[in-house]
Amino acid sequence: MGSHPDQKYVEALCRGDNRLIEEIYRKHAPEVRQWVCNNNGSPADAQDVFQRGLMAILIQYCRPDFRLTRPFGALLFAICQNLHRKGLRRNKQEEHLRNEVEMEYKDAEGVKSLLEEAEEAAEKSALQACLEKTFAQLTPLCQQALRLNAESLSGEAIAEQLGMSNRNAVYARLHDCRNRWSQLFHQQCQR
Amino acid sequence: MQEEDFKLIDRYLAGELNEEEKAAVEARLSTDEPFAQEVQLRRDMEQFLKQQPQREQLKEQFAGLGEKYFANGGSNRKEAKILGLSRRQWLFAASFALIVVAGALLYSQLRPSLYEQFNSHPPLALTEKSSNGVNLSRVEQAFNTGRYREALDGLDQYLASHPEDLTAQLFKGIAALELKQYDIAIPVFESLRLGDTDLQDYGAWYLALTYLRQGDRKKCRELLEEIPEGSELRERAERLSGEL
Repeated sequence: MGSHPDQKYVEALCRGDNRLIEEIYRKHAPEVRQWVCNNNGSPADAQDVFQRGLMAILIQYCRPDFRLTRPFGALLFAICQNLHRKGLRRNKQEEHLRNEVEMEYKDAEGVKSLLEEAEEAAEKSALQACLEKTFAQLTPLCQQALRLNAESLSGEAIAEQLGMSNRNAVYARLHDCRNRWSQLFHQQCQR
Repeated sequence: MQEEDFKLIDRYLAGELNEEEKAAVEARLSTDEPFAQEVQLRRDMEQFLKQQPQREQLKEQFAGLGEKYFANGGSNRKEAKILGLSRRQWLFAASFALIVVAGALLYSQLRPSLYEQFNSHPPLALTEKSSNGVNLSRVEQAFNTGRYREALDGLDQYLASHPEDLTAQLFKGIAALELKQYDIAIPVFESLRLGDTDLQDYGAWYLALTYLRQGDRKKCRELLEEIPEGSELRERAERLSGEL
């Protein structure tokens, strides 16, 4: 199956294309802002869910094999709704939520999977937020070693940059850092 | 999960297992749920790290666009109508303006000092290190909740048996700085700043904050200039320099 013409917006997010990202804001920010403000949220909440929605798309769909099969706006809007709904649930305000599903994007065969996709993306966004929170609790040295390792630097290069004795010391440190990160994640996050 | 399992996962994800070991791990993935979840978490961690530069770049782009499209009603907000005001309404408006000006003056008096605007510290996470009789969870908790006296005492005790732990030294210096015990803080930061480790920039940054708190802006600025391009503290250092 071919991809939707809006695939260009997903690709724009993946490569950080300023012009197309601004187009996403111009086309979709007003409707998200209006919906959030009509549903017990502020413009700042709207801005937050919009940005988290875009980030969720980046996390979930930035891979070579992903093909967008529906309008980008429909996906983004559903993810934003989901994120806002989860925020309200946390604050026990869900009873104020109106327009549960925006009919504008409803299409006979697509609405269920759209909601599922939005749910998955929102879950990924929550996972990401928790990874971010717990990563920040690692020591500066752990953070740096893990970042350098993710850049595919060799053990020797990392040892040199971090002033460690050799690559074995780096691997041992990376192992401890990952274990600590995992431990913090299990203590503070739910999967 | 045992330490051996974590080592196995590391080697599996690094592609270091032979065919037989790899097949055994893959079989275990379908039968051992905690093991499978841990493998998935490690994959998520790797993906998180790999996408971090992209996310940071996007966050910067979003900041500018968010301001443009969400603040004050977004770009397509309607212009406010200009209404004619009666004398009474003008008086009311003038009084209101006076209150706003007085409020702004009060706010400028009460707003946090430059030091307070920049003294957000990384959380202390020492429990990855052996405790050796010191309850490190309590030391962490004390530091992370601002009980710096308690944290300083715990760190002193810990450092007596682990003098080589530079991260603990850094946090000892920060606790002392928060307690305004500059005679303890300055030598700690100075030694980190002059040491050849990845905490060098932290030494310079916190020494700069110490002088800022003491009111010596010149020394503060000089130290900020030492923080090199590419350091994770560089952006903060530039912002503080700008404020100075």
